[in-house]
Amino acid sequence: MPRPDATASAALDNNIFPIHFCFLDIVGDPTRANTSGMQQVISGSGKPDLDGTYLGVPSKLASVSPVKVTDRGTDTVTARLSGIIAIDSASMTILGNRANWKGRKARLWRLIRDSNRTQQGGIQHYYTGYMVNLTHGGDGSHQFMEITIENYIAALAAPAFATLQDQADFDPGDLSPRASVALANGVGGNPLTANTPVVVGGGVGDGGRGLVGRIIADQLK
Amino acid sequence: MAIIPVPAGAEFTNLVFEPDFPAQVNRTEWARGRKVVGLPGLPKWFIKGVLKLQSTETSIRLWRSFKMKLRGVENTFKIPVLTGSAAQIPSANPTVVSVSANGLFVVVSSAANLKEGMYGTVALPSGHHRLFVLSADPISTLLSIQPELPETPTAGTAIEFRAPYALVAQIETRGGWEDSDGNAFFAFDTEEAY
Repeated sequence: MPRPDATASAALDNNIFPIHFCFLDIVGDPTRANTSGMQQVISGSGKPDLDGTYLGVPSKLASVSPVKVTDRGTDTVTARLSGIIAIDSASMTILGNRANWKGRKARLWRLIRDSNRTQQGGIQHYYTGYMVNLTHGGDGSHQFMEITIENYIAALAAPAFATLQDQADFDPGDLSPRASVALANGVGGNPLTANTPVVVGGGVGDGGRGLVGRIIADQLK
Repeated sequence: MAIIPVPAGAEFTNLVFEPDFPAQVNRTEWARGRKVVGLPGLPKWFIKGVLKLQSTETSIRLWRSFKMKLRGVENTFKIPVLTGSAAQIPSANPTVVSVSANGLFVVVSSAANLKEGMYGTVALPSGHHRLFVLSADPISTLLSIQPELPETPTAGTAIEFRAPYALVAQIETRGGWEDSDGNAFFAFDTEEAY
């Protein structure tokens, strides 16, 4: 998150009227909106994501949650879209196809203006994330679709819930998962050949040593 | 959402204008200083008014029908912002030539008879009609206005200075009238509808 440049910082000493810009890269319906209430056109910024026409009174984008930054990335950001089922059927159709939004970019920028509504300094980028989830909700007063946005750290740091049993997904020749299951079940034998398993332990002389004891006994043979 | 025509000869009185400029004030407890930070959204008009009504059977009927056609918060109407029936300026309405990027300055075809503090209303491409106030005497044909126009009107659009109005909708879903001994009382509590 870049800090305001010198001009924008200087403007912070007086009253400011910032504008926030939001870009949701939804296939077929890229959404650009800003908070000034007036249409804002950005061109020639050198950043393809930033260039575009930002609607002032957007009918689609209802709100974007604050961005909370921590050293582990940012908390989940949510964007609320208008979600009236009958009216927004076109939007619903677009969002109904997960490929149109899932994993695609959502970006936020900010611009500082002074009391004369004159831009001070450059446009500061302050958040980029990926749209990861979509829910539809509402109550008696309004309906909405809520897009959950994670930044890349959160997206990559999420647990994969992989275990040794998934080893074969990454290394098809690896049979250690099978071996571990076989051992845990007290079954010996060469997993490479998957030949007739040899039952060890559990018989005479096992002496109730249990699984670990049986594995150790197996190793000692 | 439809614009419901106001019955002919409508005059409102006890008008309360509350233009709302979204901003927050950050105050310091140490030095009592203050700093303003603008909040999202456009300045927005809130207007309350009472109908000046001739208590005739016809006019009460028409206004009762009007109130019902508004259907609470659903439909919009053009509330006249002048309390008298006289036109604000004697000359014809001027037209828009151009608007500044921040929406605070408008060049018009003619600024004859226009003065600081006068109301004006202009139709915008989105279908909204924006009420504004002249914030200075015109310099040649350049008008300074408050609040800003959120969109640029089509060049040549007439600005209503003779009988300015605001395009509003009722705030409450319950908005009716009072009736006693044949005298009806119609009050309106409205917000700008864009």
